[in-house]
Amino acid sequence: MDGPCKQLIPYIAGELTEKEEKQFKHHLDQCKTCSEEYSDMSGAWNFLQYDFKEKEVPAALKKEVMEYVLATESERPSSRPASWLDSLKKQFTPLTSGLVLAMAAVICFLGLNSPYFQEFKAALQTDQIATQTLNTWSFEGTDINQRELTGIAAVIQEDKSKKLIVQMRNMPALKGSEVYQVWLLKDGERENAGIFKPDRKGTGTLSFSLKKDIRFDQIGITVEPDDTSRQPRGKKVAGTG
Amino acid sequence: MTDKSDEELMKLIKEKKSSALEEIYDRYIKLIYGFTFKFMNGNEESTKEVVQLVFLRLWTTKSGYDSEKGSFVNWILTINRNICIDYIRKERIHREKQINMMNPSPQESSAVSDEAAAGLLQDELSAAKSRLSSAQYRLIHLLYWQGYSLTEIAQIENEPVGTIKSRLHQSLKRLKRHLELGER
Repeated sequence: MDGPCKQLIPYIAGELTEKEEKQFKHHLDQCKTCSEEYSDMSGAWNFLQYDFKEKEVPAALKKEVMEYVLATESERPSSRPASWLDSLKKQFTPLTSGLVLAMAAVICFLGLNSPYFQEFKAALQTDQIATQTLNTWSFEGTDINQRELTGIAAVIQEDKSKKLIVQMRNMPALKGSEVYQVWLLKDGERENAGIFKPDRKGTGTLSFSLKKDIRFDQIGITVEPDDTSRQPRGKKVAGTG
Repeated sequence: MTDKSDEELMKLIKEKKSSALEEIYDRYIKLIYGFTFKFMNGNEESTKEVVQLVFLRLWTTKSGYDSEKGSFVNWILTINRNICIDYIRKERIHREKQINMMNPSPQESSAVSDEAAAGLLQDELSAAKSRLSSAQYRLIHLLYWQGYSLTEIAQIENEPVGTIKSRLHQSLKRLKRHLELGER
């Protein structure tokens, strides 16, 4: 087997990357030899899945499974808690005063006397353990008619994990299944950093665990039709820098 | 719910009808439990965890089931196997880290090999009926039921990946031939 035909075995074993798999499927449609071989071998491969003995299922399992599924589902970030301040405290309590200092620059920039930032500052002052702020940003709305839209973001290091915290105010209301999605930008590439829905006042909070080696220059927020976007499909509403 | 087809149930699951998920559970739990139990080498606790993850995947999947792309059982067991492999690989990495910490000598591949071989003893009986050579059977078992990749198996067997690939080719062809002849 030569050229693309070499991929037949890894394809059956499910070892191709998404891109390679797509290319190979295309090849499979064109190549008679591969498609015949595939039909033979996948039949045998699928037969393997029946090679087990039936086992008595514990009676209590159904209840456990259903409870697990429904409880896990309700933990997903589909709606935000009643008070953004409570959720903020919950999400990264306790933080160090270092974070407060680093945030001060952003707070000054956005208005020191605004009650929002007073609250934010108070929330950050409840910290106790070693947490370090690695970077901070401020957001601006992309629509000139949304001047009141403001927000801040911080990357914090808590023990060994890195978190992105985003706090937004005066976000326009969403319709139906729409969500706000946060993206990390690096060299024109966008990487998902979670979704959130603001409350009725337009205040939204997001806490997202970052990969250890992540690098990015800017943060953008788009409005997406639902919570399944892998790349932005909707309009950008806010960004840093 | 009992009068609904599997495809209809999956559509209802997308609409978050939990009674549809319960119906799928009732229909397929024996299959899913038996499959997972074998994959988890008879560990009931891991089996339970994986079964929970399988139903969570069914509940949250965006892609859904399309009856034109094959049987429902095949679809659900493919999902089941993928979750088993993810689970078992995470466990393996964790375990190997612990082994490396205790004993940093380069014995890893033979240790895995011995362990895999021990797990095979019980299944050696069923190997006979499949008419595969022991090397072919071992390959199928490591690949399908133990979640090792072709490259990892090549390391375990101390053979080139190309040899492993062509062995898989031969094994599947042979299996297919016996299935057709009804010799199983």
